Amino acid sequence: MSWTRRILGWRTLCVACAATCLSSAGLGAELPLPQFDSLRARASDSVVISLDEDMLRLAGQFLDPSDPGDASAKAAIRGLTSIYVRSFSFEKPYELPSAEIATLRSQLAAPHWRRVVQTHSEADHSDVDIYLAADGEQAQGLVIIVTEPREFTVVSISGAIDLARLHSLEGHLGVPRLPATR
Amino acid sequence: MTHDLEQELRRALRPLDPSPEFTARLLGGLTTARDTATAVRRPGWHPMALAASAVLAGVLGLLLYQHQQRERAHAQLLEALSITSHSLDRAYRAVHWHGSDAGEHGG
Repeated sequence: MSWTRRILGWRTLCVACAATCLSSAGLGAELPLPQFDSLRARASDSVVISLDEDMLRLAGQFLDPSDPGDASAKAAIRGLTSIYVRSFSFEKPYELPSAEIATLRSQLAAPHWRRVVQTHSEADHSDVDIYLAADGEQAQGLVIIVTEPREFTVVSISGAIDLARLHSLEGHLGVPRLPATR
Repeated sequence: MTHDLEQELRRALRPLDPSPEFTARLLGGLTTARDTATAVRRPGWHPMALAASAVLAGVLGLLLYQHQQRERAHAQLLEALSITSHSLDRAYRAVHWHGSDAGEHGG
């Protein structure tokens, strides 16, 4: 009887430890993206980038502070631990990889993740979803899913994210600067 | 008299073929000298030069690999940030458009 209790006690402790580990791993908010091989095979252009902490550090060393674009990029990646990008362009309308997207969305669940932006445009048949994982007031994870008739993009960023800094990249990396108001 | 002396000298200094013993001794000596010189030289520069070349090639290869890795990471980072910024821009535009649209409809 006492052995059964002890075993049950150990099991409870192990489960609690595992839950704590999973929870603290989740706080890192790193969400590696699937490869989306089915899209890759049909896309006219595809970008698959996976930069973990080491690769980010390596790339950061190569940034030239005297170059405005590089300086902005260096500021933008400060505190980040990973960047994953999957972007595919198609010549014809494509079929969304619903299974992979469903798996991805299932990982972006409460309480850790929150969908902060969800837009749908009937005019150009596009959807933009932004998910955020926050630890207090600091964003720790960001996932952007952009679906357009001939383009599909998913971005996953983890670390201490400064959205303003990321947005300030506009105009520096070939992205046209938008007027502040319209 | 002078002529005789000259003839005598010519006879005394006429070219002679070396004896087979002398030839054998000379060739034997040459072979020994060559072997000794090779034996002295062999442990020296050949293996060291090979090792140095291998190390140099390895170091250069590593440097080139690291350089390529950094360049690749750099290019990927800029592209990733560009796509991120573009995606945020899309969201910003969509939200802005929806906001102004709602504002127009609302009042």
